[in-house]
Amino acid sequence: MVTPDADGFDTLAIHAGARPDPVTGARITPIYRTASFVFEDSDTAAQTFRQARPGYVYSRVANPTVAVLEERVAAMHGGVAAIATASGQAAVHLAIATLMGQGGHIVASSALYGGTVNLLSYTLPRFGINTTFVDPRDHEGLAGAITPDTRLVIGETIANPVMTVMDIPAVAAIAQEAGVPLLVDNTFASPVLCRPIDLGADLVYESATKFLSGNGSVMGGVLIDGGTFDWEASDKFPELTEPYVGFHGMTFTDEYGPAAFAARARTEGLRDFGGIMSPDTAFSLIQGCETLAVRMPRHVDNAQAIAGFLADHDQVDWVAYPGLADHPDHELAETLLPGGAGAVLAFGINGGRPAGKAFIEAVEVFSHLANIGDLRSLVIHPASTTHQRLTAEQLQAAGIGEELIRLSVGLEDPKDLIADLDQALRSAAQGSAAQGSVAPGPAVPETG
Amino acid sequence: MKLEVDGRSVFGHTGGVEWPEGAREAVMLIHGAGNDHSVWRYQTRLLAGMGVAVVAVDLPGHGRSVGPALTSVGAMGAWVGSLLDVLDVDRVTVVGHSMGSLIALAAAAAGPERIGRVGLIGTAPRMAVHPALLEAARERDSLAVNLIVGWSHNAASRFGGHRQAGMWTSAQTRRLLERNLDVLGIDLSACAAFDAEPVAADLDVEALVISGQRDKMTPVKGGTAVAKMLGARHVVVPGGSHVSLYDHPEAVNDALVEWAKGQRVDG
Repeated sequence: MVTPDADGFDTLAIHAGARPDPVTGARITPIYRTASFVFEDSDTAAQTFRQARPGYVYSRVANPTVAVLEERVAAMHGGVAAIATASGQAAVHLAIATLMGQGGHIVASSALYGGTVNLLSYTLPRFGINTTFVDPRDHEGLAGAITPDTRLVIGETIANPVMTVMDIPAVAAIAQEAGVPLLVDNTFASPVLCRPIDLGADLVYESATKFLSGNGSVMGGVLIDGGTFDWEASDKFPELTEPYVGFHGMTFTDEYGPAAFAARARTEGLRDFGGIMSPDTAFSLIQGCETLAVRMPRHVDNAQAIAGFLADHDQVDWVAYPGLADHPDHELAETLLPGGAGAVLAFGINGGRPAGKAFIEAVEVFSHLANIGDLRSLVIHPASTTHQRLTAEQLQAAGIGEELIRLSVGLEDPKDLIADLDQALRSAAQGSAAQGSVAPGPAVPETG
Repeated sequence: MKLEVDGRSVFGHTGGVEWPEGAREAVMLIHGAGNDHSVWRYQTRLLAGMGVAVVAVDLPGHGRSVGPALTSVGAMGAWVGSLLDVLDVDRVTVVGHSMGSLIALAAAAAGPERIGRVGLIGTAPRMAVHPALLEAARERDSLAVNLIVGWSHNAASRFGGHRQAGMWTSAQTRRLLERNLDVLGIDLSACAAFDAEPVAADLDVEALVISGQRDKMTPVKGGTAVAKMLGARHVVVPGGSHVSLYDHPEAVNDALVEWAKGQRVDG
């Protein structure tokens, strides 16, 4: 029986995109901290400028350090290409701006990160791009919301903050039937736990700030082109299928075939919008990728242990973690996320907002901040922070209550994490009983 | 551009420029099994920018050209002749990759008056196809895609490091094969049945052979044999794979351009 020569995920996460430095022999990818690159001669310059020859021109469009990260992330996701951006928000904006302009329409899951909801609800309509939000479990509703102007369906693998798992194959089939691509935010899963392209998604983005980094030290995003969507078969994407006056009349599907989307996004999007990642950031993220496959199982193990602990705790009203049997998406998670349902979970504390505030102020190992995916364990109260700009209706649609507390479970000893949560829950019970009610805390910018 | 050959629509990519009206000389690029014109992205755009009338075609049943796919290399070579009739050119350089290299030879044998030069990338006198691959391809089994991707990109290109930022070419090869899976078995059967030696023996063409140093599909020795048959120059791309034309495009392009200039290139 002949078997394919194929490198495993762990090998690609360490090696893809990187070679020893051709000049110095340095084994670790150097930080190419340079704005520009010297051309060999005028012909080479002209050819590189018009993409007749691969190479580097200016770091706003491409940089060798960043390129290693991009190629690595593409390989980890099974995509044909990837683009690193300044943040996850820059990645989703780049995807949208590449595929549509004024008059464009998006169908989005109603269970989305608050920052993305802001972008879709308030910012993009100013530019003539409107969004219809639909419960990701309502597949008939998703299909029904697609109009002739729809250019994209957007959802999240695991949705912040109540851990809704999207049935990617089912939603992908709906999008495919309608002739539009599916874009998935895979931040909560990382490519270790889920590769959306394998499940039918066409485009993927992640906030690289989270698990890819692993230590909360940098901001970044990645946008991956699966190369699966047949742009030519649709008449909806002239940006890819017709000559682009803005770049030598290039027709991206003609030139780049399966990588047409990524080519246009880089050629136009990075050049014009400039939402690039710095080589220093890329260097940090490359180190993060190299340990991701080792870190994620430990994240999952710790999260599973804590979810079980919380589910049995008398100060906890409910726990939302797809790894628990009572989560509405548990069976789906077991199918789509066989390596585990991630390391972010939510729970409702008895005593509502006052108890939540007391709890957060009592934790000692967990850090109260707006982020996820750190090797340190993190805690936040979304209704007053990450989702504070959402209306009551949007909060309800996203399933966020005032009692909801979100945990991002890190890599500490699980015994210490459980002990910290236990003492904070008991402290909250005592505090809320004594105080009665507490005013909402100060607002912080939406993030995480 | 779209053409009509033998009553069927054919797509040819001309490097981002209009086909020069009245061109008498041209370069034609022919892809390999289960591929399409986009494998030539770096060569097409480069040559067009140099003022060359260049067209990278989709073979029948591949990419955007209407099928059915042709079932023998000889038939594909004859089809190239029909395409040249439509283009109405006098002198053509045909450059082929893998199966396309065999087609280039067959086309030159069928129409030596117009095809004076052939460029053969990733070639061999006989392209024996592993029985498991052939069977999988005929069954439209994804194993065929996995085998070709692994064998095409193994060795130096397995971990990428492409000069065009962010491109993971292994997956690009995969997607192309998936898109053309219906014809992959036909193509591979045609490759397996074709013997280049008797064809090459009767040819009097100027030829360039380019091999990837670490090509597992058509190892260097195959290119050496073909080059010997044709009295051709043979360039070996350092670290190159079976898909050097887009994995190591600069080395391939340099060889092609030097050849076009008529300068000697040592392999």
